[in-house]
Amino acid sequence: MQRREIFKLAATASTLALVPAISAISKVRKENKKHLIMVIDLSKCNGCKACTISCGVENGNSAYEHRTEVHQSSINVSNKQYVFNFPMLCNQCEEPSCVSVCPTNATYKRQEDGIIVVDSKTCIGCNYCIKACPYEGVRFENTQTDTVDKCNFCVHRTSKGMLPACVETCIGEAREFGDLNDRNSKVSKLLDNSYPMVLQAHVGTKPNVFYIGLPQDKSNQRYSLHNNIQWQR
Amino acid sequence: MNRRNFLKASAVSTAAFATTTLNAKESLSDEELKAISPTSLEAEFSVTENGNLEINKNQRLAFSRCFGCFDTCGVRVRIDNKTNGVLKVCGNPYSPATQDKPMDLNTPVKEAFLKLSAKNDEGLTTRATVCGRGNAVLDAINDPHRVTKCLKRVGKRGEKKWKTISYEQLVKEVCEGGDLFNEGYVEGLKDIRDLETIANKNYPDFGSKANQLFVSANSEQAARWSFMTRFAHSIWGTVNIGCKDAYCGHQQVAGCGMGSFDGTSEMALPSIDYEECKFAIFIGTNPGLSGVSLNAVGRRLAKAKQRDDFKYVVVDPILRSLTNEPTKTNGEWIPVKSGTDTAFIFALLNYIINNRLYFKNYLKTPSQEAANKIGQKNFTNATYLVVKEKSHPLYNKFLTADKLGIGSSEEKVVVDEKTNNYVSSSSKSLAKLYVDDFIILNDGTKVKVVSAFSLLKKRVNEQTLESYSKYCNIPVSKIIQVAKEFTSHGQKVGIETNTGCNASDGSHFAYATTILNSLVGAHNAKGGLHHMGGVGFASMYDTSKEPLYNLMAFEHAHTSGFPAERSGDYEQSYEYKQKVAKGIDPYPANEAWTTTYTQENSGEALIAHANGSPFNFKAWISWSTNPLYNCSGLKPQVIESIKDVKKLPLFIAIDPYINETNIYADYIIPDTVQYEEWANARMWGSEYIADVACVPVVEPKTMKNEKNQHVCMEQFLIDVSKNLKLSGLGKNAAKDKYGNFIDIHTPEDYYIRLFANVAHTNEVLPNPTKEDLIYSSVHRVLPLLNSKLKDNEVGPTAFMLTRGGRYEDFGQRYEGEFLTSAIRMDTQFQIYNEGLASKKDSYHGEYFDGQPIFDVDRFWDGTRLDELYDKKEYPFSFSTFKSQLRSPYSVVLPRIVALTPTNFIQMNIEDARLLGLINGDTARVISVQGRFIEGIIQADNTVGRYTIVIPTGYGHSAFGVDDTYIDGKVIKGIKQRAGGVSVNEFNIIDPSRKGASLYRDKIFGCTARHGVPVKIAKI
Repeated sequence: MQRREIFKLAATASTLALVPAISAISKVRKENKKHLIMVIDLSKCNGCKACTISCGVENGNSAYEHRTEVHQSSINVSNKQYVFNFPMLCNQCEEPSCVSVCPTNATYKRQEDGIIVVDSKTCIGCNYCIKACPYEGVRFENTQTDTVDKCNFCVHRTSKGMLPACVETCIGEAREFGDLNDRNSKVSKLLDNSYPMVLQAHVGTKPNVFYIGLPQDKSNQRYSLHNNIQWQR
Repeated sequence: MNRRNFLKASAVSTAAFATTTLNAKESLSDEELKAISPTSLEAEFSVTENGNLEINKNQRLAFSRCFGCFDTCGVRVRIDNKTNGVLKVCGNPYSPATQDKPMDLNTPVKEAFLKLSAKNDEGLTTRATVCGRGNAVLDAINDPHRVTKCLKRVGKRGEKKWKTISYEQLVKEVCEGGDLFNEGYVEGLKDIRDLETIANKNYPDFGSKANQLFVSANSEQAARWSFMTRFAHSIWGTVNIGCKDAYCGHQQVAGCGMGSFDGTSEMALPSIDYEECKFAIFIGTNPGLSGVSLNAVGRRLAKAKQRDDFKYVVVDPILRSLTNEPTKTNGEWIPVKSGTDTAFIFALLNYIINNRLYFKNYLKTPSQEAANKIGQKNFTNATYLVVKEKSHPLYNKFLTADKLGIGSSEEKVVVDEKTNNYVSSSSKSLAKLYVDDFIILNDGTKVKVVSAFSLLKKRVNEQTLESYSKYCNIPVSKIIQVAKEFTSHGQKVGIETNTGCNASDGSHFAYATTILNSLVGAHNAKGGLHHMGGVGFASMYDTSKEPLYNLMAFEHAHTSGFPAERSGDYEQSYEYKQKVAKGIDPYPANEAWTTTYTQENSGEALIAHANGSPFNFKAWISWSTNPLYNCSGLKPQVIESIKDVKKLPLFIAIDPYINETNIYADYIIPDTVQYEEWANARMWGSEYIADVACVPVVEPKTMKNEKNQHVCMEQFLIDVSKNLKLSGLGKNAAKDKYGNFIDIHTPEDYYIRLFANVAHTNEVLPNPTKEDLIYSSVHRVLPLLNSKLKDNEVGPTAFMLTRGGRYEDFGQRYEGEFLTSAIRMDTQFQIYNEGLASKKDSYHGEYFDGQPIFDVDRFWDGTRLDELYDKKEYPFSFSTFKSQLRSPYSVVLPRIVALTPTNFIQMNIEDARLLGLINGDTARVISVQGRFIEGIIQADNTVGRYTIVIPTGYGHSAFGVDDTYIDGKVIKGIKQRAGGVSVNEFNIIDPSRKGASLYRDKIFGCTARHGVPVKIAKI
């Protein structure tokens, strides 16, 4: 796909119908393979950013390059102020925009668990995937390796039966993680019992990161993971 | 592959773009893993197909203590077996501070780690977490500006030029003295330690010359603090010991203490029972965001917010993450003007009392028996009669039963509700709340008596609701709404505070909140308040003396005299007695005295030094603390007297870093950081009586001395004591329970015996399994334990280390409608504190009132602050808060600085608009005396009106901000560390205190920092 076409698709996104997370989930379930997802319950997030730092240490990223971030802002509800804490990371999409534009197949979605990874040996740093991804900032160029970096659900841990670094340290237990196709898993039950949102559902990427407690209008907005941290509470 | 090679290899750059075919890769070899996670760590474990835990041989785990902040949580540390470096840290599953419910200590270590994995999703419910700081603090070990060698200053104090010096030479110089800096003769410690000669004959009641050693230290280091104070107090013999407690939040802890016990020297700081609470008020505290274990409490609050029947309000000058959008129906932020919190509490008391919404029967019980009868666990002194006859010796004290011949002098008097008779307070029946009467005593005297509760009602009606509302800027309707909610859920409510309400009436405020809790019987109730949070073994048991080793069994130095900070009974002082003898009014005292408790306030000690009253200190040892940065308003008051070598001849610091205080030191001894330390501490936020206990899990980075020992605080004190031939360290330093001497030549000699005591306290811990030892790396210290302990002592001690500490499991959390007795604080809650009413202030010589007072801020002499300035010119009230990522030393952590590059001057957008200020403007916040701090404005709707709020921990001028020279070589400064503005550079100055001074709490003299009047001006 040409670069120009990528941006055209994003521009017309708002006219597409909202695709609920549920239909994406049912398709994944039909395939009946291990399929790792994250469910973030925003009511439990207090914006502590332990996840951001834990991820950085676990994955050897520099202090200024984050695979996940928690944005904080204030929100007015019926004339009262509340805080909005918003963790963001790669959505490990079912229909990823990034994989199709990679000239070397360095980035791909793993069959065994659905995690989208980047092979640093074959990545040439062209950054097409960064430009193609509608979730600005979740992919970035790692200044230590000069290759593209992003959250890969701590595949080095999750492929060995351990939890991702962000999940392990999540103080409020906001980040839940597991196999969607295990009907007994916590994430499976969470999705069955709630109506979670995904980000920019209208773009059709079918994310595998689900948010409980995210207002629908906020779920449609474009965010950048790497904007300047100006407001912290 | 790089881009150029690729383009050479493929014909057309777009050739490979096409479809979304996924690369089918079935298995994941180590090489493939490395390719997709090139910079990641290896996992420490893996879970095999049959659900077994397999160790990665390249790593080991050990339990240690985090010191990223003063919650001192227990942590699990992943260590690289090749480099022995710390790789990553997370929580200890056995620690009550890293989750809401710790793992059973009997769970084998391997099984505990398995429960943290993804197996059966167990790790999702068994998360042992650490906060952002806890995750970042491993970088403290290798910070380029860390002090690892012994340093001696080159040039004048504060010039940031040092040279390395051998440890032995340093010990010699500080002990023997001499012309150490080509600035003249400096007395060494050996000459300063003179317990016979009075330090200053004009102040003979301030003790001997030995008191001219001032020791400032870190109380939150717990067992390490005890090691230091054991030296300072019992070995050396100085009374001048300080820490940060009194410029932090001690007046709140002591204030809550006044509402919980008779007298003024007790402590209390209750927290909400999140599991069952129906309505909580958080004021001056942000659970889950700062102290009280951000970790454990963050979890509890997150869970509580899931309940529809849990509601809460947060009263704060600034909106914080406590009330978030998804749980907006649970919580609400109520903006308050900084420093006016007492008005809010009094408004609630006023409404609740006037409308009789309190728990009547609970307040009417005069005794434990009466409480038991109505199914309550505690009682108050609400019904006790206070003598209000000025001429009577019991004026403002409780009438005693013997005066009416109805009991002993230990019993008080109440009016029985049924019979209206005056009876002893031991009565098993309910008594009257409202009594205001005249009574004839057995000796015929007629006295006015008023019940404590009647006095309280009168007190809270001194102002109207409207008046309180106007003062704190919270609408009357909101106050009434909160009061109604607070009294609608029985005892399943609570108001929790911490150090955030720190105006000059912080003590009154905390006392009043405790009374508010008493009004509804929230104390110790299911869903109410839990008083045993953060209690360690050392508070409950004498762990330094028993059961196996008495570490205090040596000849103690004889200390004498008042501490220079003037904590003590002024009327026992030489000054007072001289004035009385000369017929001069002894009041006001020449300086402010704290007659209510012993502050140990490093700030006030340095103030005394700056004023040379009673004397200048001859030597200052400062360890693990930073008062010039952390104590509000201190630095400008004392800096000259610290830089001046004539006023302070010897300044020794012990610290891993050069901070804003010890940058002026003459010598710096390197110290250990977390994971390198021998640590044993309580954990703030634990709901259990619990200790974290750990050996160094990695080798310290501090230099070694000639004996091949790592230099640290403990080693330095041991070698100084040996040089000065003092008892208590070195040979025959203490004794075991059989009376045999033990030597203390190294830190381990002390701590291993201490750990053995803790492991054998109350219930003796069992022996660990071999597997436990391996999985926690404790097998590596077995030889050391064996060399210091008796055979049968090793097992339990090692077991404790295999769990990183221990806690007392209390089993069932509740006993009916109350917390179980193990976590209750069963006391008589105070509606009137007689002990407080027996203490005098040092200016007017008047007794304190036995109940909290709502009043404007005043100086030591009682002058209103607002007589000093024009309210229109200084319309703002200053407030500070602890951000969730910064703490006193966290500026050295690159990941913290990256996420928190700067702080802002936060204010309300309407206030800004009226002054023509907008977001991003650079502005100055200016105090009444003209001092200012400068920063960038952030104005929005998340700050209350008339308040300026700035978080602490920014605006550093040390910790490697500037280039530092050691042996002529530069260690480049890291400018990012200077980001933001420091909030403690100024405070209001009390004109009634002569010379250098600090702004004080009215009852406890602690340093007050909130509600200070300021103005703001754009630059």
